[in-house]
Formats: sequence, C-alpha cells, structure tokens
Amino acid sequence: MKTWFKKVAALMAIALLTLALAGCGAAEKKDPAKDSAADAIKKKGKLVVGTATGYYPFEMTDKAGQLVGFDIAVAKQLGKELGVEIEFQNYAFSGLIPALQANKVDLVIAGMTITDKRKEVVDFSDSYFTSGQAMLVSKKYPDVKKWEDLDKKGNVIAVSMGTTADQTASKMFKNAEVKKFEGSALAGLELLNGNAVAVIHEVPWVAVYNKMNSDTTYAILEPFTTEELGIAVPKGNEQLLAEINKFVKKYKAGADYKNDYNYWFVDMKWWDSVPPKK
Amino acid sequence: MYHLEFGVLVEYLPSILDGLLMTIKISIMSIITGTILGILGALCRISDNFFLRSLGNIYVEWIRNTPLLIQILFIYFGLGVFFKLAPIVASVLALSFFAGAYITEIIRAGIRSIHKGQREAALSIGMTEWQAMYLIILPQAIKRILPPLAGQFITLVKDSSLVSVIAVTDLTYVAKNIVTTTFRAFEVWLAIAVFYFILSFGLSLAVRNLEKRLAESD
Repeated sequence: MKTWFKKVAALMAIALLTLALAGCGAAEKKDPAKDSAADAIKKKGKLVVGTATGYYPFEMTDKAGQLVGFDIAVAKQLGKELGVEIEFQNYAFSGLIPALQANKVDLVIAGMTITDKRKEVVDFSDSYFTSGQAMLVSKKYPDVKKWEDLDKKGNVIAVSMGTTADQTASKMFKNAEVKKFEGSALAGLELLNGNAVAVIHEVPWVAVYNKMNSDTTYAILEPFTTEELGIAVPKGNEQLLAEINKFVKKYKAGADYKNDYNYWFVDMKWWDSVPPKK
Repeated sequence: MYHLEFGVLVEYLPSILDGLLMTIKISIMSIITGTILGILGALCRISDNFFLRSLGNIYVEWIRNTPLLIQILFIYFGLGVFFKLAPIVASVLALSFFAGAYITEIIRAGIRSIHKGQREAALSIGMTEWQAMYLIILPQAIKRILPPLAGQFITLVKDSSLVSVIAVTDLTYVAKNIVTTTFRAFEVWLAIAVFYFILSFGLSLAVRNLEKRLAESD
C-alpha cells in the first residue's frame, strides 16, 4: 500500500514540475510577420471563416446541406470586397475563440458579441449588428413577464455555453440553476423536453425558435441587455482588421445590408429552405 | 501571441475540485451498476437457454457497435421525450450499459478460459453445476478477469468525460466552462488531463496491488 502511495506522490510531483516548466517557457515573443498577415491572406486567395451552425438565423444548414444565414451573407460580402474566396469551418461556439488563438481560422463571424473579456484574447471589428438577450419560455410556465420571474429555486435555465447569454444568465440568476449546453440547439431541446423553464439567448434566435415551436413555447423579445456583434480576428492582425472595418462601414451604409437584414430577420423568406424542427 | 498563465487554475480550483468529485461519483456508480450488468450479461451469454443467450448477444453487439456519445445523447435527449431523466441518472445509465457490455465479454471469456476438465472433475465427485461454478471455476476465473476488468474501469473513468454534453457538471464540463470564460485553453486542458491521469493511474496501481495479493494465494 505504501509504495503505491509513494508512486502516486512521485507522479503528482512530476506533473507539477511539468506545469512549472511550461510556465517558465512563456516568455514574451513578438510576431515579426504580423503586418504582412493581410497580404498573406490576399496571396493565399482565401479566408477561413469560423462559425457555429444552429444559431438561427445567423448560421444554419439548409435542406441541401449548405451553410446559410445572415452571418454567412456577411462573410460572402466580405470575401467579395477583399477579392478572396471564403471557406467556412464549423465549430461549437465555445470552440471558436480557441480556434482563433490557435490560428485554425482567419476570422470568426458567428453572431459574437463584443465583450471586454473576449477583447483580451482576440480583436474585434466595429459592430455589424446590434442585438440583446431575450427569453424563450415553456408554455408550462405561463406567467413569466420579466427575467426576475424565472429566478426561483428548482427552475432550470438552459443556455449555450460560452455565449453572452451564458455570461449574463450566470451572473443574473441567483436561485435558478443555469445549465450550459454545446450550442443553442441542445439548449432549445432541453426546453422542448420539459427539463428547462426557459432558454436565454439573443433576440433573433428566440424569435425564430419560438416560431418553430409556437405550440410549446412563447417568447419575451424585449431585450434586457444591448449587445454589439463583431467580427473577431486573432490578436495583432491590425491590417486585416482595418480592411474588415473598412468593409463593415461600407456594407452597413449600403443597400446590401438592408437587403440582407430584411431577408434574414424581417421577411424570413429563407424559412422554407431550412429544415423545420419538426 | 499566447502568454501562459497558470494563475487561473488556482482561482478556479474550488470548481475544478467540484468537477473532480462529480467525475468520481459518476464513475463509481457506473462501475458498480456496470459490473452487475456485466455479471448478468455473462450469465445470459453462457446460459443453455436460447432466449437468454440471444438477449445477451443482442445487448453486447448493440452496445459495442454504436458510439457511446450517441448512446448518451439518445438516453438523455431521445428518451427524454418520453421520460424525465435527471442528467446524472442518464449519464450513469449510459455509462453502465456501455461498460456492462464489455464487462460481459470479459467475464464470459474468463469463465470459458478455465479448462472444461475442471468442471467435469467437479461434477464427477458429486458437485452440482452451481457448486462447480462457485467453488471451482469462478475462483480461478477471477484472477484472469481482473486485469482486463481494471482496464475497462479505467476506460470508463475517461469515457465519463462525454457526459459533459448533457450538462453534467463533471471535470470536463467545469473545464469547458473555465475555458469559455478565461480563454486559457492550454493551461486548463493540460491541468484537466493531469487530473484524469492521476485518477486513472491511481486506479490501475490499486488494481495491480490487488492482483499481486491474489497471486500470493496461488
């Protein structure tokens, strides 16, 4: 028994030592080639865009298996503006910032809110969309009018892990339990299965999910937070960021933005080409 | 450029330890129910009854040929359409059924590995089938079963990380949560790997110790 214990103790010591050594190796390194990042992308002729499907109507998969949505439209406009091809890569939302940090993607367009915490590790473009948190509530709990009504012991609030909804809900709810899922689709399923009282998510998603499940849910769309969505790029990519900001400014002022906005959020003409939930 | 900063681990240590406890709890419960299922499964598989034998076969083949992640999602979200299952209950169910199928095969193989002359000799001196099983075959088979069984338990501890997808607050869920709030992916995942390593390796040392003691009785 004793030798057994010693062995484990020795192993833990080795593990700690490894951690300590890894810490020592963290000396600051400056990237010499950062100014040429945008040129490199133009030369490559391709931008790899990270996104997270299932976030209606920003990024979804249609019946043909194609990525569609407001963000996808924005990305394609950006590609046109910069004269490069756009390649999409799909991640869980919580995996998007790690993907940027590891340079697996050039930028992220995934309905991502600009927050101070995220700004510490990635850079954001100017806002391309203004949004806020809303509530999708199960019809089994008909008397909910504001978020405080949800904050009771035993209530489960489902959110998508790592989103601003997650951060807001984790902070706001003192009595209710906040359960975090990989993506808004699983959080929504938790509500439909009757395990959660409500899902907290951004206004457009709540509106769409409510439309899909109008017999079992109702929406409270009056947002209780205001959030600006931005395009995220790895830290230290000033040139690419400048190009993106130039595009955002031009795009938001132009007719394409209005068309895209109306198509995805107002008319919802895409409705029949995306598989209904039931 | 990414700067390493292990301070977050200290800050989040209480929640990491909570996650560790949850992982241990789920693993222990699943090991117990999985072993019971495995014993029942093995008894079915070696039974003379055609119905029981087929039941055992279907169970083992069905579980072994579908991914654990799908089983977890099916039990929680799929069966969740009909029954209300707490995430922890769904996790233990999924992990037990999964481990049980492999344990069935381990136990069956262990029993089959004892030469049939042993059973015949026991019967010839007047023992019943059950006496031959309990007094002669099982004591020998256990020693052969133990090493692969320990391997299966260790696999189960590691596989339990999948239950984080149904929001069970285990070690992996806690880690994902910390990464999404601090973005310290490297530090957190490395530390979590170390925790899993300590759990699994500790378990394997304990079993090795037990094996040694059993060998002394030979």
